[in-house]
Amino acid sequence: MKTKYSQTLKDAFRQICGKTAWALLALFCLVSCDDPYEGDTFTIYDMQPASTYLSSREDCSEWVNIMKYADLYNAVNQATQYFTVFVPTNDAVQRFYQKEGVSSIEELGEEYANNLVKFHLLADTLDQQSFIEIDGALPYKTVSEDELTLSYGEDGTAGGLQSLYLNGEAHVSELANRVSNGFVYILDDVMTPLTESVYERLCDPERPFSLFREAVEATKLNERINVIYKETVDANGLPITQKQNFTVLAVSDEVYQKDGINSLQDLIDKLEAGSDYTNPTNALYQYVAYHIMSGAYNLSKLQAFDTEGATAKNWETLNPEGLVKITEVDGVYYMNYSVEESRATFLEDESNIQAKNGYVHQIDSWMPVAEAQPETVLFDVTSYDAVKDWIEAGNGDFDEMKYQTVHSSTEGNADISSLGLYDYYLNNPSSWRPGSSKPDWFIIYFTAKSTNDWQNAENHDFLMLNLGNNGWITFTTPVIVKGKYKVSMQFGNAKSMDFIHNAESGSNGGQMEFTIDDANTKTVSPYMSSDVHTGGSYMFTSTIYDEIEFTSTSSHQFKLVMKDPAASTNSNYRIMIDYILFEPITETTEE
Amino acid sequence: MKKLLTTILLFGSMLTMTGCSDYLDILPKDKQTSDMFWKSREDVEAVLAQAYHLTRGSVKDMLNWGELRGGSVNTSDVDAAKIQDFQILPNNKYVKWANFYNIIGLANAVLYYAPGVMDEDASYKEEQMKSNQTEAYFLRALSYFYLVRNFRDVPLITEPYIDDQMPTNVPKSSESEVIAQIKKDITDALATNAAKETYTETWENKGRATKWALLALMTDVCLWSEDYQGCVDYADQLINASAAIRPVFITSSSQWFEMFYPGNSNESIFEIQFEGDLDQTSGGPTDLTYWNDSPMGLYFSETMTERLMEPEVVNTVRGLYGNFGYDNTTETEILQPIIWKYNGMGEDWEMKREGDNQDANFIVYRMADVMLMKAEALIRLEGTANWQEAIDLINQTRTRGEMASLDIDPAETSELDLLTALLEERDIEFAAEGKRWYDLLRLGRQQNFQYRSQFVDLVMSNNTTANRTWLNSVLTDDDAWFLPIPEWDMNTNNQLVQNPYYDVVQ
Repeated sequence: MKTKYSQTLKDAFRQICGKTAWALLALFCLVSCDDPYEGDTFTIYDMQPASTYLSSREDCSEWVNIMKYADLYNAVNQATQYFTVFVPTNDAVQRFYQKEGVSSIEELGEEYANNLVKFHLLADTLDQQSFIEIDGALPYKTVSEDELTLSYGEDGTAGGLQSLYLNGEAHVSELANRVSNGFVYILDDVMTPLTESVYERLCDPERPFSLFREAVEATKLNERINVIYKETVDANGLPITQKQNFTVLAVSDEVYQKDGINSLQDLIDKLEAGSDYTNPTNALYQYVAYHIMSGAYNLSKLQAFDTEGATAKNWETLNPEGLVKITEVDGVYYMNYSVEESRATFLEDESNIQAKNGYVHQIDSWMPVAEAQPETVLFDVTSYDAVKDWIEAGNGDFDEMKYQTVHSSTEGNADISSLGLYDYYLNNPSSWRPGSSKPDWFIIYFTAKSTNDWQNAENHDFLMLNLGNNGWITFTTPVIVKGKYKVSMQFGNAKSMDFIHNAESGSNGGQMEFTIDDANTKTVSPYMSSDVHTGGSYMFTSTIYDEIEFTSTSSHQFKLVMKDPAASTNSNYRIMIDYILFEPITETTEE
Repeated sequence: MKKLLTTILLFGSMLTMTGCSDYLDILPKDKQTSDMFWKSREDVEAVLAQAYHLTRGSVKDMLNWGELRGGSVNTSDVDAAKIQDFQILPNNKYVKWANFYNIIGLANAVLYYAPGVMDEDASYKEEQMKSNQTEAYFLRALSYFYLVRNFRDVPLITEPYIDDQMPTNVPKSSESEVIAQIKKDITDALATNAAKETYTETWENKGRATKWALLALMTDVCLWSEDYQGCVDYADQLINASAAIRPVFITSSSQWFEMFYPGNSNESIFEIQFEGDLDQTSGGPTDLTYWNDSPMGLYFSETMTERLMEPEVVNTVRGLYGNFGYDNTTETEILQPIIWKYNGMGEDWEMKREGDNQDANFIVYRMADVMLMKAEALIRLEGTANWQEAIDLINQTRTRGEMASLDIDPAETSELDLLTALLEERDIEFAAEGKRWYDLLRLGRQQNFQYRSQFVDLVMSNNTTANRTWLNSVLTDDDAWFLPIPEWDMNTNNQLVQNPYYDVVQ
């Protein structure tokens, strides 16, 4: 019975399921499936990578063609790499073609196209808030290894956001369109790739520097500042290519004329120069060299000072004894403010003229060589273009390591012993502690992370040394104006280095012997200072010389010899140098 | 059995189609619809009270927007500093107009629903209803006045959001249309003759909209819109008022600080109320400028401090421990001068506000403001008699501020010299009261940008934090003198077009 009843139910359900349920289901389908959102479009993920995004914009189609021709379209579309792409509109590209006398990118060639796209490309992200806060140069170089500058114009009644210019020639019409792998900025003009040297910039027919250029040529310094890349060898004799950079403080013909200088001969006469213009002791040579700095410095760099509250800084020139002192007075930046006949200011609208190997700035006086005045010199012992190039070439211990940059959670290390920046002697330094990934690195460029006090180091970096007992290193200081100075150093200390401060584990307290120009021997134990904050990653300063007198204006050999046995025995042993500070001592006479 | 089961299923399926048609109409127990609200006088007043409450949340906007670009007050807040440095983008968290629109929404609701409440509540008389409406008119007009001075063209919404048929995407109206609406609101409110001169509680006389508050606001709006004679006329209605209880200019120097502590002084016309005993300190002037915050929110700038430290100011009631103060027990030099009018209770560092006393009110209008607005209008109207009257008005606040009278012969001076003297006086008298940027804007914009270069010079010379080249470039563009439409609103209202200077921003 039970079985039969069960069977009956089963049959009934089967029949119902087989017919009625299907009918009901059909009924439900008819009445219950009104879709209130029918016809609406739903966005699941609305961002595309840079190249795909650009392909969707009709106003940028010519740039897409250029990217494809340059074989960079897919590269800029990578999902694993972040970019900031500056993209000229079709109108801008057509004007550029017209200027170049071509009708298509093919006429300029694939190599040119490749360089053009790379010149408009940063391999990093730059959002719009960071972009508008830039003062001078962009924080990242282009993929073509060039520096871009941002300036703000005053186009009639449009300024600020409406008047942003890259390299002084490309108006930015759209900021930071977000794409999945970075940002796209739209330009109303193409940026002309930099190919000219600073010397060639001086020679531009529209530039008013004919007399100054003649003087440069007479001294043959034009040959030096016309070099962009120099082939040389590193400390191990291996060939390397070094980028050469210069900053020229150029004088216009009009300025010379105001001082009665109408020809090169007038300038020579005024300087009372002999005829051997290529001799570094010749007054014309010294005058021209005084107007050229080694290094690429835009105005914002020249108008920055080393220490908080400072308002002046001496800048080295190719004239070894000639320093240009830049001083801020009431918001105006002067060169040689205290020497009236050599005082000059920048003509800002005619400055920041970029070249492949630096900048040209136009100044408002003929600026003869001024006697240098003592000024505080902060010598950041790792601030060298060679270190920057080395890091940017990928020689750090992690791929994203950047020069003078704080990384959020990672400290950067790079072996810079082969760059020829320092003379040094390693005397059996202890191998790094077990687990260290780089046990054979002893002269290390080190960048801080954002989680401790080291991030506040000058330029956020240190020189980390492990020289061994009696090992030594010599620094060549910047040119320092003759006079009396107090010399101090800023160091870094870590918890694992506390044994030096405590003179434990074989350490005598980190004794060091200092000399300047092989004299002025001084033995100091900076790490034993009461200013050392132990138990973590901190910085401290230590006075090395209370007073030392330099009798000539020149650079000096600053030597440090480790005199601590633990430097050769303790695997945690190292010292970390941030900078060396030379502060002039001004003697006051009581009346 | 088969028939039975079929029948059950068919009925069941019918139930799913017909039986539950109204369950979506059942409201959660803690929710009310508009139809269920607006039943009594208390309902109207509750909404008004909420609107007043929201004005407290707007004080940070009133101070940040009114001060930071003027250069007399600086901030340590990274995002607010973008306003100070004119690096403002639509995603800046201090550039949001929502709070003002929330007040406008509540005011719109009172204006729309209050008349109907009389039918529901017999005790709610027309006089009371109209009085409530004057408060709503004031709050709506005041909110739009802040919006128009900061964003220029803004969506003009004067109807409450009643149902889903109401448009949510509203385009911008022009500055002149918004100003016209503000004036209409104030005129309509005054025309009812229902605006109160006094309330029951003393604090209400200053903390709720009165006839005096409407007149002060109209004075300000007329001055902003270059209706100088209107400005003088409305100011005179306040200055020459004879009601027994009315705002009056305090002439006694020794009582100057009483405007800020304890506040709600006789001179005050309208101030946003904070009461520490009721835990109403958050977002108030003391909270925003608190002396013990590190870093401090708002403080006097370097250039303003120099002015306050001038010998003719520093030892007066508007100088040290008047407008500004510092911890003279630990600091030998003034690093971040504290805005003492919001942080002090007397003329000594030991009298600093702490705990429940961190509750200074925010004064929106007071009589000295009305007098100096009238002076500004008189200067713009020109004529020796007008200028002499303007000088006399300026001298009244200077005299109270223990400063020497201006030695200016109206027959020998110029409009610009007088406007400069007026601006200097307003800078000291209303230091950190959220007025400075609008004072400067009037100088720069009015009479077809006649004094544009002087405006730019003043902003440049007062601002010590922004990059000089950038600041000079930004100020060239008068569209940049206003704020961008907030990013959130751009994303949610497809009728909005970004303000012109900011249209390059994505």
